[in-house]
Amino acid sequence: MAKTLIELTINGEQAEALVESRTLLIHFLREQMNLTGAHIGCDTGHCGACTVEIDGMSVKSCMTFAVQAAGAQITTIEGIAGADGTLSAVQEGFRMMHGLQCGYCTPGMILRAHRLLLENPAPTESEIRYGIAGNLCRCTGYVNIVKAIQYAAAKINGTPFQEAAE
Amino acid sequence: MIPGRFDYHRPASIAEAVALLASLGDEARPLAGGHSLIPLMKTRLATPEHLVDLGAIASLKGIQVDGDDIVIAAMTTQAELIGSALLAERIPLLKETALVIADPQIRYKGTLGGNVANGDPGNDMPAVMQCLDAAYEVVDEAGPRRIPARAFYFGAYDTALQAGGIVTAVRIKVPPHGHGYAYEKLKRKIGDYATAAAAVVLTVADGRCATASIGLTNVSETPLWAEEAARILVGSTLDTATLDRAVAAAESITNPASDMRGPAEYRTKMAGVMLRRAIERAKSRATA
Amino acid sequence: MSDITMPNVAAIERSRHGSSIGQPVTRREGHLKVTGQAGYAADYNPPGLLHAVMAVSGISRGRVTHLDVAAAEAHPGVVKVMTPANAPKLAKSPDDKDHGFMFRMNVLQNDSVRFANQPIAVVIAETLEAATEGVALLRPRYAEEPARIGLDGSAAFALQAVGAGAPAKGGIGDIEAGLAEAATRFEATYETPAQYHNPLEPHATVAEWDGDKLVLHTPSQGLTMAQGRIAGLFGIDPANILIKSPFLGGGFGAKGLFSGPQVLGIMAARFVGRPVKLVLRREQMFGPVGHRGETRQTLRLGADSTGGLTALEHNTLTTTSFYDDFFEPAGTTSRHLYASPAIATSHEGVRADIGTPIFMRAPGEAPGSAALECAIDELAVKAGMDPLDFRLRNYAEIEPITGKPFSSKALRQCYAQGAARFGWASRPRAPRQMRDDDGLLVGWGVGTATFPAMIFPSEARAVLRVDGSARVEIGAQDMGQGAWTSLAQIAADGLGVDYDKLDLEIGSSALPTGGIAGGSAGTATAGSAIHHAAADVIKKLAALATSDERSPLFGAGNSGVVPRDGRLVRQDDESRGESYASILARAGLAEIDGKGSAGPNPSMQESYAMHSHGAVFAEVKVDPDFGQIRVTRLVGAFAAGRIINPRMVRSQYYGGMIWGVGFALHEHAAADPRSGRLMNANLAEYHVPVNADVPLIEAILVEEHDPHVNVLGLKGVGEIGITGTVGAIANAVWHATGVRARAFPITLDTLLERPGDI
Repeated sequence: MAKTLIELTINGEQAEALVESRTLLIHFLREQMNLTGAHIGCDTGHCGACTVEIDGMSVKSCMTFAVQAAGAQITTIEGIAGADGTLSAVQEGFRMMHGLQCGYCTPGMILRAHRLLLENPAPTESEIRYGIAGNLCRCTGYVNIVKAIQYAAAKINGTPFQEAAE
Repeated sequence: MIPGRFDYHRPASIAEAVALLASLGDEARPLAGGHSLIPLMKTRLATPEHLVDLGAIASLKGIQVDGDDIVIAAMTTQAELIGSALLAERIPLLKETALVIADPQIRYKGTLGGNVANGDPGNDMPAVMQCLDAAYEVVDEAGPRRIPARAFYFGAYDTALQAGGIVTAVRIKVPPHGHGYAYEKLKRKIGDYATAAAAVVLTVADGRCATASIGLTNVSETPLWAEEAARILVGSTLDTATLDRAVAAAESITNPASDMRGPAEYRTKMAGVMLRRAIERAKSRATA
Repeated sequence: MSDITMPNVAAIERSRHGSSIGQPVTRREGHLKVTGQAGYAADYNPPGLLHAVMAVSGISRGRVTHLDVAAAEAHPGVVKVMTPANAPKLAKSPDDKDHGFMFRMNVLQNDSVRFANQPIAVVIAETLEAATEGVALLRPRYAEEPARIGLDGSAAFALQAVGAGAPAKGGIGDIEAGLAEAATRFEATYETPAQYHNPLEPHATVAEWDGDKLVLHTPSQGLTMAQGRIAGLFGIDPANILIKSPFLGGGFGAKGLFSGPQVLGIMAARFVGRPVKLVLRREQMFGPVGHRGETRQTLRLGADSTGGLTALEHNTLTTTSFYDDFFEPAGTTSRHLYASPAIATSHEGVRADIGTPIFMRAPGEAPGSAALECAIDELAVKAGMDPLDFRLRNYAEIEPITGKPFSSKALRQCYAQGAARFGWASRPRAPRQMRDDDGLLVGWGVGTATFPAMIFPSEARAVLRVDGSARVEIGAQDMGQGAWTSLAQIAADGLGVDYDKLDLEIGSSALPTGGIAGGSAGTATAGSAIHHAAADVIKKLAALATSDERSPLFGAGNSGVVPRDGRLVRQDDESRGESYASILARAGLAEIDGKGSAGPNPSMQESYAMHSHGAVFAEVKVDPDFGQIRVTRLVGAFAAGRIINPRMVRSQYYGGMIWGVGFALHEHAAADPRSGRLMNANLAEYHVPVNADVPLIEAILVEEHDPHVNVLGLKGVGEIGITGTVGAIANAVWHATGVRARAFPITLDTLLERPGDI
């Protein structure tokens, strides 16, 4: 079937590819660009494991076609760390606060948390929960995910982070 | 599932979009945010052969003041509605509603036009638009026209939009300063469609309700403009007895589906509960 | 030969000299997971890869009469369609059962349909898009037969064994006599629905054949078992099968036994002679990879005038498929927990046109404790006692029925610490006594948590090198429970090396068998084998030193020497010792290796009852307008022996308790009453707990020392969090509303139609 040539920027690098119009962005990233960090957890747009950033917006890449992303700037989990490999504050938060177990939801969570903290640099706990409502986790019970984001917010803002004692 | 094959078009103007839709006929669908249509395509409940992406049309973005009205272009996203200082100040009901639609990612892409145009009874904005007596600016082969939201919905996925037409903007007369408003949505969990929801806009003068308007979401095949229920409120002090009568009137026009959100009787009852809460909150916000 | 490079973990918080165990070290593989570099099966893209998509049945029972293979194969990019007509012949029927722990599969051997979503064909194509379209073009036609659905869809029958082979019946004493003499009696029936594991990662297989050799990337909680199953089905030597499963996106029991869809991926690769990737869609996770069967549990209890149980009867009816046997062992919970002179538990089965159920997180204990904790609570109230006091009154000092002593049981401390943290003492006895500032009804409930402590056979290899580094290998796998980290901690401790200098390799069938990551036994299983392998290395190293005059340890004898921080030191004087590097160098060795194994200890099992225990306290709030229930607070206090990594253990408790919230209030696979098809085979309508469902939640790690259970003294923590939680929530709902729920999930429907509506 007819393919379209799309040009876009992925993690700061120019990319161009031929895609079928029916190809969803998530499959384009995973199967054509070999960026397998974004994951597929469902079919109905509920789990958020496929979350990436398009032009500064958190987007479920399973709910958008690759052709729609022509000309866009995309950031995936592979592009979140610094050029020298230094983890971003959110990545570090998830590591340090055990905000992950199996890790399957983690890239999507991190992409979403990354944008959440840009939208709202000092969210309350309930604002965090509301802010990641589009991401499911089956393992952790979300507790440490919230802590991870609080850790990251504190780090970004230079405020002290006090983990509540158990 | 991955959708079936289709041809993708990305017009640069409204005229081009409408001409495309006209020439491609029934097998073409406009693509706005895609977060209603693409899920349908993935389950193969929708199998358009052509998609006309409205995302590159600059004139479909923006929120403008036009006299007594505010005009919101159709591709304005829920996130943009939430972020608009103008709307927060002049029509705060929209932000309150957008905040309870879906989840953050979907709000970044989901558009006002998409939410009002496709006739899905589960969408929140249609009832809100009926409550606000909004009008949809529509362009189709015959040219531009304006259709009141209250006259737009005939049945589930059955609207006044002719095949080939698109909603280009929503025009809302700004409610009076000091109006009371609320959108109360009962849902099983965050991100879910409404089990039942109610939109209320009212004004109060000298301790009495001067004007009132009520819209109900997802308790019928279409959004419901509860005209009689609103009429009952006018002139009253919004006391309990009046609310009881208004709620009963609203419940009487509902005709919800029995589904996984609950049996029909329960959903009707919940529409009544949400309406009561919405009236009370609107009342508390109204400044005479 | 590790193809996974673990980055050097930066300084780790350590408060105790010399030991990694007990330290809350951050996850070893955390860096890989937060950067998207952790490779799950579907992430693997070998050259020449083709994509396979399963077509699944739209009916529950009957036959496929037509598949439009020509239309599918005509679609550009489709390479071949595999159907029962042309599928590779297997060496052994997938319906053969050599033993009870093998489960029958549906892998295109005939055109019969045994459940909705059963695989009926596989389309293999150049792209995922083409394969998906090929499936849509098949337009299957069926000869449909009426579906038999639910607990009443066919005749119930008696059972011999349930779960993994526990006896279906078990008890002691005379129930009727016990009930007759009771001062207070209670009887009720509870129902739990079908539930699906829904790990976030769907099952996926990337299969590559090379002659009779197979390389497989696929998530598996049991690599050796999987090898064996594949070997039998394909008639090849297990040694020719290499399975790589370094990272699983959750398992919860769905990835324990090798599944039909995974076999189909292997068959597809054989069929086309190229590597094939087959990934399930979320909808396809509902049927062919197992689930928790429905139960209907009837409990009859009696208590004397002091609240002591005189009788506890627990009968369970549960569903299985028409083509295989697996029965949720719900009643086994009542065999272990409360002291009663008369206990009777039994199970009956009923067949339905469903995929065969399988172990799902806390099999037996999850639904069984839900019912038991509700019944105990109802009896307590009827007897006029506080529910916690009632449980304490019936505390079992020795295991009921068997009379065995517990290897350890800090349950009293769990009750005490949990109650104190929760504030249980101020609970009003009567229901409907508490409201919050918004007028919501508030209720508090308690439930006891219990889960058996098991261990499976396993082996490990350990290597110590002259440069002070070490490596441990075992075919265990990490599905999120933390094996990459906890096993490394155990290994580092056993070898007396710095955690940072230890290389752990897991997740491959080429490694010594790691048993099964299941039954909450993964850490005990693999950890014990690693412990013994490390001990073997130390023993050999010690022999080198103690027999050598040039060593400061000369003459100390094996038993007098312990490993500490890269040195062997005398047990009676730790200042005297020698470094590993020195011992090895003098012996002219670059490295020294050892092997260890672990497994069940029959004499220990005969002597002791071994279980983890806990107490869960729940607060719920009920909105009387909607009957909407929210859990607002959960406190769980658990005793599980030695804790390897408190952070990870706490996370498992949280995760388990949130599963308990899901069980109590949300999860329910709803079948259409006529067709038997599931109406909610997706994550939109099958409600797994979401962020907003999570209450204030605390997990207390109660200290417990167990010298018997295994060499490490540790018990499992992965499943216990669900048990006790479900009952605590149901009991809290009663305390808030005065209405008892007898069916799960507890929904407003259940509450509003009961007498005494809110």
